[in-house]
Amino acid sequence: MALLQIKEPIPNQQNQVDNDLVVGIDLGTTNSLIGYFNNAELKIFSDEDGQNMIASRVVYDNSGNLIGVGSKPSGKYEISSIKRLMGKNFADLKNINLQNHDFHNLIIDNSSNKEAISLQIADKKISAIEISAEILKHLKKIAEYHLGQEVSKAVITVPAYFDDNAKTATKQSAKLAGFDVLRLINEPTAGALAFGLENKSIGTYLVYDLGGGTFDVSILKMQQGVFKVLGVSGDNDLGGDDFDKIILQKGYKNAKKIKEELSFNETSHGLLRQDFECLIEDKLDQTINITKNLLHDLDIEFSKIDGVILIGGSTRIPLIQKKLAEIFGKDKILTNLDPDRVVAIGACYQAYNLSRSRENLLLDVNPLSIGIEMMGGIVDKIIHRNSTIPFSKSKEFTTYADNQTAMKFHIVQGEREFARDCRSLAEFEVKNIPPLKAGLARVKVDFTLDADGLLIINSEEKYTGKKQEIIVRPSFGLDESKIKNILLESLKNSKIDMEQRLLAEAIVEARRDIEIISNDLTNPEINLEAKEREIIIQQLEKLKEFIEQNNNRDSIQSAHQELSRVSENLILQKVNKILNAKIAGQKVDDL
Amino acid sequence: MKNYFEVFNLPINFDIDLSQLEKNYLQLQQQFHPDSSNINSIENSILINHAYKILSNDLHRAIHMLQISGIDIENDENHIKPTLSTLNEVLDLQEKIHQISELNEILSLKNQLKNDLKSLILNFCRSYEKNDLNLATQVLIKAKYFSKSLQDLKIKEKSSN
Repeated sequence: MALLQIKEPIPNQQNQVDNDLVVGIDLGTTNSLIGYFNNAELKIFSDEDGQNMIASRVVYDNSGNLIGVGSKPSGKYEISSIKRLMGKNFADLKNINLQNHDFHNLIIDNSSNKEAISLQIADKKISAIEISAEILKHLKKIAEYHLGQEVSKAVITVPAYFDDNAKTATKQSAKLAGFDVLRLINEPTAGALAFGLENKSIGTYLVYDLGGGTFDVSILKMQQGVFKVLGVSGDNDLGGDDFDKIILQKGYKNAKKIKEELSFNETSHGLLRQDFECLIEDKLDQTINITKNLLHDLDIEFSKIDGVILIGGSTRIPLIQKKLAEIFGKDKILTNLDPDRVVAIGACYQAYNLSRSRENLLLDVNPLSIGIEMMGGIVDKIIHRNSTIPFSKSKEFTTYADNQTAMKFHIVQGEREFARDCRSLAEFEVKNIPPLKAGLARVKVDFTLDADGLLIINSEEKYTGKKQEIIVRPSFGLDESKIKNILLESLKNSKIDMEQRLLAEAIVEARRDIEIISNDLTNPEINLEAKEREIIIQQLEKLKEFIEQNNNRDSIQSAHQELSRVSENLILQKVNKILNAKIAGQKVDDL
Repeated sequence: MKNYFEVFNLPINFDIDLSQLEKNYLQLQQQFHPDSSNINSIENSILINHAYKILSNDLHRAIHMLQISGIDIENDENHIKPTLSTLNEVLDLQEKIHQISELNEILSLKNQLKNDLKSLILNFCRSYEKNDLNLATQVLIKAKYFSKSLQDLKIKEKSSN
């Protein structure tokens, strides 16, 4: 492995396996990132093409088999933006415009039940949760390659405004991908954590996070060692994708590219920046209103905000920065962050925090109120939004008819007055209530939000003391038995998967060296005899051929070893060159 | 009834040092939050969050002080009713909120209500100190109604923006 060490050291290759290693993942609508912080260095890992922003794009062939993940693979079914379907069921879709998504025509109409949305991919029915799991599996492989060991623990970021169903769906995806999720953290919180830790900031900060598919705004108070979220708000169906669509609708192609170029140029492909800004201004004003309303709800004056942290590629749009500057002042807009990577960086810090240091505490809130449907469909809010989690509240309910022996509860999440306008989380029944006069029998219901913000419900019938725990999980997600099946299925395939993985790794490693050696051969400073050069080139071609055939790990590896052997002289020369370059200019005493 | 002041090692007093409260709160969470400790129990962290939420809000802190004294105005079953004059005042207020629509009217009523709430809570403190729990209770019930009206007004302000 001498070759690899010249280009990029692969850490931990020979070291012991670290079971407590926890990676940070930003599972985005458009791009996803994975990285790791080891207290000395924070690394966002790149794929074999050197990209560390991995397209959240899953490709299947015409019989519904996975081809790959990322921007490169192509096939009959190319699924992007699957995050927009997480935690949703068919009935939810009527409020969302998905016309322009590739998966729009693949969605299976399962309105008859409340199952998670699935896509019809060839003759297979594949759920959004499973598709998202493919992205996570891909990220996992990338991290494992760089860390040189198995990775099974992660902190994953989710939009702050994700509801319970969407968070649960994300956790299920992670489980399918083989991750134990230590914590789901909110994307804007992760961004603020990264900013706060790197700048040692203290004060009240607003995070404006406009991602590919979601908008989040969050206000945090940062102190030494504690990051307390004061409140969050947002819109789960508003993001940079929408701007692309607006451009497409105006008859332009390459919408994404035009949008990106207009952040730095006055015109792109014949579209003027000012015209583009007119087209998207309504959408931007929505985000500005949500931002102002949050400050209003929390009783925080605009002038009390010490800085505005921008997250998401779309925040490069100058009009957004201008509108925020009008509210908070130009000097408060912090533009020295990388809006594409800051969330992943925060996830890595939090992963480190939870597994190693416990130095910095994140106190987060629940984004949406939890309530119960009362007579007439009105919602009685039990836990109000922006309560610091973990949180719990109890409520007692009494019977309204004589000899009533059961009570039915419908739990919803949202701010609207009527249950039909909120998200349905769970329905459950408390049975065997002793027949008593109306109002005498009571049922106490505890609503608890854990540190991930996921809901647990317990009920107790006071007369008999009978208790019941209600699992709020999957009125919309995958149920546990389906998850088990998928896991069993993947175990069956794991031997094949393992072999394929080893093959893939052998290919990646071989390709790296081919690239390095090919480059070195063109380096005029390296002197090789013609014959030696010829042998190396022959071996390079041979290795390339084996890679092309893509089926035999042994032949690839032995050809790879042979290449290393015949290139020994070349490598030696190069190492000496590098050493000489380093030594040059230094006094002998310094060495 | 649990005494939330005890959680933060503070005396039962309306005029607590809010920055001290916050400091104690964060210190406790650094100790008991499930992310800070290896003990996988969230009960303590929940209690600390709850206690902080109650004590950091003027009205809720006052209501809690009454609860500790054995009067729970949050529990409808105790049948603690407002006086007729309070009811009339609240009805008038609701009527007024319903009628106004101009933003400047909304804002001026909002400011007036905020001031009213402040003086009601001051009244509560005085009655509480004199141990006149009856008067303290009546004042707080009125404050609770006013606070609800203030929320309605805020929603109205938002929709008129």
